Amino acid sequence: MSRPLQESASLPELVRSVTQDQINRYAGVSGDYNPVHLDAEFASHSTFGRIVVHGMLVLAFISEMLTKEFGRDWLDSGRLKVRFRAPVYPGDQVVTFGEVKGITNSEDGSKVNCTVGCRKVDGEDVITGEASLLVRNP
Amino acid sequence: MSNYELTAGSELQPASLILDSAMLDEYLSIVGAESPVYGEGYVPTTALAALGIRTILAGMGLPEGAVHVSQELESHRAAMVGESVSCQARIVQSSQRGKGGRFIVLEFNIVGDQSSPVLDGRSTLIVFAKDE
Repeated sequence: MSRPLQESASLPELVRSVTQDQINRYAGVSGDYNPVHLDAEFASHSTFGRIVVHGMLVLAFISEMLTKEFGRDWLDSGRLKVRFRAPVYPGDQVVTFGEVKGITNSEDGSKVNCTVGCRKVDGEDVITGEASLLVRNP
Repeated sequence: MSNYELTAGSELQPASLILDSAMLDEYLSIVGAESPVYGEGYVPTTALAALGIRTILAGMGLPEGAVHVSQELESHRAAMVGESVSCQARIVQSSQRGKGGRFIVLEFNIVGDQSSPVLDGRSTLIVFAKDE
């Protein structure tokens, strides 16, 4: 972690653009070949009307934000609960956001609760939720 | 389409996998992940979750067009590149919501050696009927 923990502190914003090539590659590593992510013809008849990005790919940006802020503590003890609120389309640019909402100190370290999310650059929230973890004492 | 009925209580076939470095390097590249911890061999939480969900998808063969609604994850410890893990998954809820589709709630547990817990997850999906 790069700075002292404080309530109301903002988590680092990560800006990411998502391309169809990324989506195709993500399908390869995740095994999620749902055609709503890959097949324009199929997706045109879906509830979205066009190809959408895997939700778990966008969620990965939030997890990366938390890893950037909390390092291994996030990987060791992180809890995440999110809703996918709006689709992200190929070519969209998204920004992660987060804020520390509470810190509870104990012998083991500090239990940190955060609000987290990701929004498009036009301001539309695409993922919102909560995260918590134990930041161990040095 | 599926080896399993989309009914609550269905246990999916457990699957094992090795957290392969080439696959994880590709994952880090796609996501743009560059935190220093990955250089120490740790696996991103969402990469592990994606593999868990892959196990689910491989096991149950969800209908095309399923939509991810929500996700919960709980890490018990960081996983390492090269580690062998196994994933167990089950359908805990399956309910029709009128013409809004079928809500499917899945839980999965990823465990390491000697069944030590690594990551738990809970995914909610909507599956739309073809004529909706």
